[in-house]
Amino acid sequence: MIRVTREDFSVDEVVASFRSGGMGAIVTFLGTVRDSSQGRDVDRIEIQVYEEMAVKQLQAIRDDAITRFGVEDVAIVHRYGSLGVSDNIMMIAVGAGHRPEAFEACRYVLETIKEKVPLWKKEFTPGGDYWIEGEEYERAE
Amino acid sequence: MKVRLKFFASFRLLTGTAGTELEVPEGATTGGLLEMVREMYEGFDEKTVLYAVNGEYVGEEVGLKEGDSVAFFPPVSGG
Repeated sequence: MIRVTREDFSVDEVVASFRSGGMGAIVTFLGTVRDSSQGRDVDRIEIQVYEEMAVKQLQAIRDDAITRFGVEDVAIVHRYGSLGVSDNIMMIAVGAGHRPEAFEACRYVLETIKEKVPLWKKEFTPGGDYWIEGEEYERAE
Repeated sequence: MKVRLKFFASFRLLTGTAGTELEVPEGATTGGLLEMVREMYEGFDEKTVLYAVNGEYVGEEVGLKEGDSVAFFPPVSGG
């Protein structure tokens, strides 16, 4: 399952969508909105997406992880739009025969998403709004 | 020929638009288009710019075709 959506998701539903008999281990990663960033309080965030490209990139990352680590399947859900503190941002689930490749593939998928998939976070703080662009913060006003 | 430009995140603030059409010479490449865009918008030349043609990352010597959609954006921050 690859899904880019404004809607919230259920961890159980995502896992149920890809669970199979060949899996002896399912590793999940859940990313959520933190209430601080670089010493600043964060009230909420917005995520912008280049959707057509993000879906293609996520599919390619999934296919690559399956080939590279020999895992059974990978599911990725990423949200966009306005999100509050503690809301779900994204989820990765990796199902594999055994745990080592499941953990490795999950880490690989996450780091590759952070490097390649066209999604950007804007943080709303009491001191102003900022786009996060790689390691940089850009004033959004 | 015409190509479609798309901008994301702070580049929308810099350019004042999410997207526009641009007339480029026949035989224009991605690298050539990036140079044109850097000249069109003040402040763009100080930025780290990633780009994609029709939703795929490509190199700077790729030839453009009529109607291509070329996206320019800053380093990403999903996950």
